Amino acid sequence: MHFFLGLFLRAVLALVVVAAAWSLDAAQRPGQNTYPAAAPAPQADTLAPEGQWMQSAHGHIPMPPDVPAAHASALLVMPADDPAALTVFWFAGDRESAPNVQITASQWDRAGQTWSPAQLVVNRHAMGEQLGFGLRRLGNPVGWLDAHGRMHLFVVATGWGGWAASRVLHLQQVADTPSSALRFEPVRVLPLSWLWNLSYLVRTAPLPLADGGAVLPAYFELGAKTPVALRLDSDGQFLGMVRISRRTHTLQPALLATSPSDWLALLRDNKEDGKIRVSQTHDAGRTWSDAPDLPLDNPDSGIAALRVGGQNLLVYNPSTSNRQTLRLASSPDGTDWTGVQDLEQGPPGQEYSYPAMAWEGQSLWISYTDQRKSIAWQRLSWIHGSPDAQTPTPPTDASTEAPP
Amino acid sequence: MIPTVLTLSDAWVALTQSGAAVLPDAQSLLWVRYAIWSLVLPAGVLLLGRVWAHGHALEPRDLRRWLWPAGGVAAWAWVPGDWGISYWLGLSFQTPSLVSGLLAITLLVHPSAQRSVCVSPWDRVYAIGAVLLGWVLLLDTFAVFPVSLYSWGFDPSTYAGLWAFALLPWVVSGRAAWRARGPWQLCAALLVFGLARWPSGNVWDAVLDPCLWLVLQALAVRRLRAR
Repeated sequence: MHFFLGLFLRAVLALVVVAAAWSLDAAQRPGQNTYPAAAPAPQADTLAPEGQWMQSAHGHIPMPPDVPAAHASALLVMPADDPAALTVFWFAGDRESAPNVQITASQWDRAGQTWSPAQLVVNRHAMGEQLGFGLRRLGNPVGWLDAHGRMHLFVVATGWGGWAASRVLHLQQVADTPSSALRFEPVRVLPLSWLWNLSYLVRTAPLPLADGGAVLPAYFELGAKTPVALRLDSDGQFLGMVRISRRTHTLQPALLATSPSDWLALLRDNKEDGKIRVSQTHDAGRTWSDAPDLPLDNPDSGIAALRVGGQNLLVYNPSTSNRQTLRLASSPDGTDWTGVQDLEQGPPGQEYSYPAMAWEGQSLWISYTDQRKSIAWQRLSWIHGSPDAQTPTPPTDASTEAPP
Repeated sequence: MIPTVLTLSDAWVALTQSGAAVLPDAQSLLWVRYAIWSLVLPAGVLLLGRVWAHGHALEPRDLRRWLWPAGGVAAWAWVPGDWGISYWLGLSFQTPSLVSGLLAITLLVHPSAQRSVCVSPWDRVYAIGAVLLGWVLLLDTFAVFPVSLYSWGFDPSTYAGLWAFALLPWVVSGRAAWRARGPWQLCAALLVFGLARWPSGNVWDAVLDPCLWLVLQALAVRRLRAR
């Protein structure tokens, strides 16, 4: 009897301790674990149903001097009062995964209508010094503006090993510096995996949320390739992660919000004879389920997706085996896609890959890797009226550097 | 008004979704990394000494021989920049868990004890639990399970569940469990995590790291072979 009484009392005391621990822990959290809706798509009413995309400018973004390789550009739309309309980040160095690769950036100057000279904005040695541990290589950058207009940069940074040893390094713009200075300080490496935090990467653009936060797409790629969605609050603080797909061969999710709570993740396929795979959520990213594949080929290559004015837009390589063509497609619902135009079409062996898209100044901006040597860009405008009635303005080459 | 009914589907969603994460103060992470490595590395040196002595406790004379390198690596862990060993260990292994740090303290405080880790049957339970948890988290890393168990580590429910596990020996065995070191170490790690969220904001990272998991498995294999 005495034994059972003791057991009971100890169990009650233990329950009290557990409840206190739970309450103390829960009290530290910023609020309810909510899943805010997606922010409205940009300029939803500017694209009349009748019309077509026309290229209005194109070129190459200036490279740093004597740097032969570039890859994985990401576009970021700047605030309306900023002298720059866009910032583009990419990685540049001797080659992909070279020790001297740095994150590079350039800005589209509203007044001058040109790209600024390339700036080296993230150096692995400098970041390692501040973090207190080494970074072996740098890779894909992704930019994002928080609700206060502060720039955040998420960069792939590896430990020992190749890309499979990657981690996601979160940086933010140094406070009280002009956006043109593009000075970043490390916040932390995002905690995404128990196994020494290994093998998570970012590539595609964040999906802005109505509360000022964002969903940052990421993916795991050591053996199994699985996409995840990372939630950020309006200050850029990490709130958690949700797995996007049960498939173990999909990566680099490109998010499309077809309504505030209905989103699609279009996925790069790591399989041979790949297709663009799809996952969907109907509760603003709380739960995801796999959806039927798109009838669009994918040569295990990155894609970009964006919703503008009721149109879902996709840039991809329409092949199962090469990256020599880069195509823009559109869809009213994210399911039925129609090719709009080939942005690039090269001979065999050429590569146009890793596209990024942004909507700024009533124009669609697309950047992409050109032969792994430089970052090319195009600006497209939606021309109202039927195609026959159009007299398109000849595209202008606004590059400040000749294409390779 | 229609009453809200918790469906099975709702319950599954609630169970499989993690709470909003709270991460540690970014400024503190550098010092925490130095501190934990400066405990774990000398403990590792003393463990190496024990292996050198064929698994026997170190005699005071041998212990003095191993204290110098142990002190040296502890000091080296505090050297900033790429001259410091924490810089290179962090590149590969990030920061050890709080439990690793506490186990290291135990080993450093009792360097001559024959048994420093498992002094009670409950310690064995904890060691086996840690090995099993490590396997589950490893499989979860490779997306074997339908939901991400790692992200549960951001949730207050997991934190509370680990407190329940830490108090279990005391509930079951009363004062007889006080001798066990595992429950105390787990409680201390959870307390520190609850206050500071070290080392990553995820409670799994606070209670078990892959290096500790590998060491526990090596010890278990050695023990099984010794039988």
